[in-house]
Amino acid sequence: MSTILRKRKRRAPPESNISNSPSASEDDADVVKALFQRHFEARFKPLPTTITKQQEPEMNSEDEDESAESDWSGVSSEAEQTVTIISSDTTTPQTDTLLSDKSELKAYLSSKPPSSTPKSLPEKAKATPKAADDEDSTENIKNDLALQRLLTESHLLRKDPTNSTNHISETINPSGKNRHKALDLRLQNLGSKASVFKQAKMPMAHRKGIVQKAQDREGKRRREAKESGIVLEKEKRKFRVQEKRERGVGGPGVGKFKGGMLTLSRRDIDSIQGPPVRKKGRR
Amino acid sequence: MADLNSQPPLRFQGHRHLIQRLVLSTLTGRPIRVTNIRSTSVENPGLASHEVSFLRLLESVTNGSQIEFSYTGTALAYRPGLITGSATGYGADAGGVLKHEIPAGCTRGVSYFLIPLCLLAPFSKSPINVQFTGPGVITSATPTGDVSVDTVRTAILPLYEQFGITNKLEIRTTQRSNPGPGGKGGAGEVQLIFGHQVRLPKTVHLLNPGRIKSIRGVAYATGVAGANNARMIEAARGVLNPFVADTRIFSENTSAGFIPAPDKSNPRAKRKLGIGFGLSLVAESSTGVRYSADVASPVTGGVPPEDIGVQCANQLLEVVEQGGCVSAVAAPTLLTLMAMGSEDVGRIQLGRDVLGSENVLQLARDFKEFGLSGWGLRDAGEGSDDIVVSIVGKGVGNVGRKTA
Repeated sequence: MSTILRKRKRRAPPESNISNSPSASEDDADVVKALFQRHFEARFKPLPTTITKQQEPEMNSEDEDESAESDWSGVSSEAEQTVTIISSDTTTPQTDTLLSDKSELKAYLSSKPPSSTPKSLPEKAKATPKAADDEDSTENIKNDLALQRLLTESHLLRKDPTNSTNHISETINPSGKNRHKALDLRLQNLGSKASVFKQAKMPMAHRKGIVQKAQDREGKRRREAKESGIVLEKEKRKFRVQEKRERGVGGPGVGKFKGGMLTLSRRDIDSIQGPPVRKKGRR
Repeated sequence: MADLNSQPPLRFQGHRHLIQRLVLSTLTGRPIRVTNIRSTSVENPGLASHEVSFLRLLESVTNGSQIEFSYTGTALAYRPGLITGSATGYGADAGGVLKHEIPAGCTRGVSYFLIPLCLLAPFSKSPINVQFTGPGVITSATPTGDVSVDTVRTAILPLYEQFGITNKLEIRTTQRSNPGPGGKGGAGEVQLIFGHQVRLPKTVHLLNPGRIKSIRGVAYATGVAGANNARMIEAARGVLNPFVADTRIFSENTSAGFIPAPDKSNPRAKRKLGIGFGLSLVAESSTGVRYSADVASPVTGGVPPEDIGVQCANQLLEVVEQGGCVSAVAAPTLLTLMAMGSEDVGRIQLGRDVLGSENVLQLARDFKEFGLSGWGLRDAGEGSDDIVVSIVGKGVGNVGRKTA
């Protein structure tokens, strides 16, 4: 580059301002380029030697040869200098294309027609779990579940005062009897009809006693709470849903058949007649 | 059905475009009558073996169609039936696979059967599952102008996606084969599964060809050295890589298939058939348009794989140059599906050379014969030489799924 600069200066010193400005900008561009390249190489990896770099010394050497022969640099020779031959090995694939070749080969040579949708979807799916602050990340969901279980099953531990190893890990991963109880709770939570620990068969008196005892205990708790002025949760009212009465086969669909007589109530008659039709007079 | 049967048959002449007329007849339900089929030919007048084979295939996937030949085979009357597909009990075996044997003298590739069958398949009553076997299945490109089975799978089947036909489409190539000696026969085996039937294909508007973003291809060598693949790929890459860096060509090297060749001493003898190699290239644009090229080694041999690779790459460049949203190979499929669509205007941009090709012009004339709508043509403008073709669908759709 410097040789060119010198030559141009020598050829036209008076208009140095004009001739200098493009070369100066070229120089600037080179400096900037070099700066960028240094920065890039510091961050990533050294750039391969580019074609332009290889050609620079060639041009320079030509320049020097010419300057040795004569000071005048002809127009035609400059035109010759601009000819650049760029040859690249086009037949071999780039290295990064080879990496995913196997999976793509399988997909392309399978019997299905290739779809035009991009194949980058699985990569995206892999990237998402890394974001820990995401609300739906697997790590957070796991923690949520553990907390939920801790809250719902911690009472199992409290009931057993003899167990000295009451700590958090025991609550999260209960063992022994507690494990079965926790599992049972989870099953009920998921919609299991009855607890596996509920005894299915026992003498009636026995069962009655248990129910009675439970009622008494509940009554006592409520009474004591009321006396000491504690407000408890509302009592669950059991109220019967009136179901449709089952009628025998072949019997009448309405009314009440008793003593060889079908008795229809007012309501039955209304239901048979349907809503009253308002008759309008003719106009 | 009675009103369809009472319609007088449409009359055509000659063996050319016979398949496309049979397909249109089946889709629209109009009976046809073709006369003068190679009537001037001295050596082999009448229907050729591949045409007869296609008629057999048509009969097996439809129910109630009537086919009548004249004594010499120079005249044909076809009264179409309902497209039933591979229903068990109508020729298909217990697995629902319909076996179609192609006779030994067949000179056409299996794509000759596959492409029209794919056109019928969306309008079938039940899924189509046909296995092509026999001593005449050629999976490669042929000198008679058929494309290879890879091109059908990677360039023509994806077209159906635009019509909303996406599921359960498969072409399984279990055995590859090039044309046998004299260009006749092959020992291939191909299974077409077309499991997505629709009432009506969607209306499409393809007006932006986009720019080529990737090139994919399959190089196949059957019964010859796998080095042929590498040489074809190398040569094709040399042409294509400067244009599109994302060029990947996969190679598949298989042994040749066997066909039974019984002789007196050994009635169970077999012989190898259909060796050779070839290349199928598909360029995909940014808007999903696919251009394809196909070259296979000639039957007589003597052409180095490098030449095949370069020839195929050049052919691909030529097809891309023709422009439009569909190549000449796929245009009949696309146009027919558009004409069968709902009664709505679909538009497609075609290159001038594609629109002016003999097949497409004849297709337009045949559409008119069959009472399908005419085409509206206008210049695409915006600096391109292409022509936008507007087609109003007939709304015939799938008769077997009228109630669905």
